[in-house]
Amino acid sequence: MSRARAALALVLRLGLATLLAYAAIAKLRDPTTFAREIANYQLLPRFAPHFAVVVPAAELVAAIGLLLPSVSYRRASALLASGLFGAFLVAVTSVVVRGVNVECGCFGSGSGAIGPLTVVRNVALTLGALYLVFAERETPAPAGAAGRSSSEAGGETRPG
Amino acid sequence: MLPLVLRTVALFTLACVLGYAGNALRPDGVSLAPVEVAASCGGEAGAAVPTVLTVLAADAVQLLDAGDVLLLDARAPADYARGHVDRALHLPCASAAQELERAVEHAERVSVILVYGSDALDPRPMAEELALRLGGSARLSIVDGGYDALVAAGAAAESGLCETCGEGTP
Repeated sequence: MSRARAALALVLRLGLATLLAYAAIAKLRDPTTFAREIANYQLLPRFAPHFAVVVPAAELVAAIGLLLPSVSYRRASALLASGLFGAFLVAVTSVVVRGVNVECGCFGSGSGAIGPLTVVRNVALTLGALYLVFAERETPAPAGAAGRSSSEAGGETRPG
Repeated sequence: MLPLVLRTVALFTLACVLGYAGNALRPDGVSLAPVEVAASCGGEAGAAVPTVLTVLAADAVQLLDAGDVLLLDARAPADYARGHVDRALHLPCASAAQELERAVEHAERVSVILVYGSDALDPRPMAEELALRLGGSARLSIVDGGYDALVAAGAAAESGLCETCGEGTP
């Protein structure tokens, strides 16, 4: 990965991890209000309590995963984050199209009403997370270098 | 690709387990029973609810033609999207607190405020909530018969989203 792409990926990872952690903590402060805000979207309202339980936890897991040293789990966390943002995008777009006036609930109570800018924000977040999924592909180590690396680290021994 | 998807599913499963376990352990956890919608109406406990008068649909249409009226539709979003009176703002009981505040600010600048519902939805809770916020109900009325009566009395109707709701509401 080029240095510019690596820097962009790092900035995105840190930014998304911070945003997801902040959003999760804000929701966890008052989960009952968050459940009511989800119900007000009037999209599957009977599942609102379950969404209120799962969404903050998924945001927190994704936030932590984005900071792990393992590229595999960073990519998986980015895919989880993009799934979350994509679901939020569908929900807020539905609200805007139907003209429903409800609180976003994105960052806990007092997040403000949903509008076109909310849709734009979620599009950007979804695209950012998807970029991380594809930008951080593991590159295979050059042949020969892997064997030297293993022996130097005292890892696996070659079969005799 | 498959390993990536499997890891993602594993992370999501972990999140579900942690979420439900954490919710069960905390004293203020979410009740998993279905949530009742309606946040903006209700007013303060013990507050004296002002009496909101009713106006006939024909009179309401004349007021609309005269101008300087704030018209509010308190029905469900699906009903509003299917058809609402021209220039009506959508303000159901499930409105965000900010939207209610914007409506109150707008209401303070007009001479007449009309709220309508339908046979299926009584607009009185929203009208009373507004009256509480405005400190009285002198300028506020409920349209008798709701949307259907207004249309029958000649009010222009339109369908679609509330263009002046959300961000940028006057």
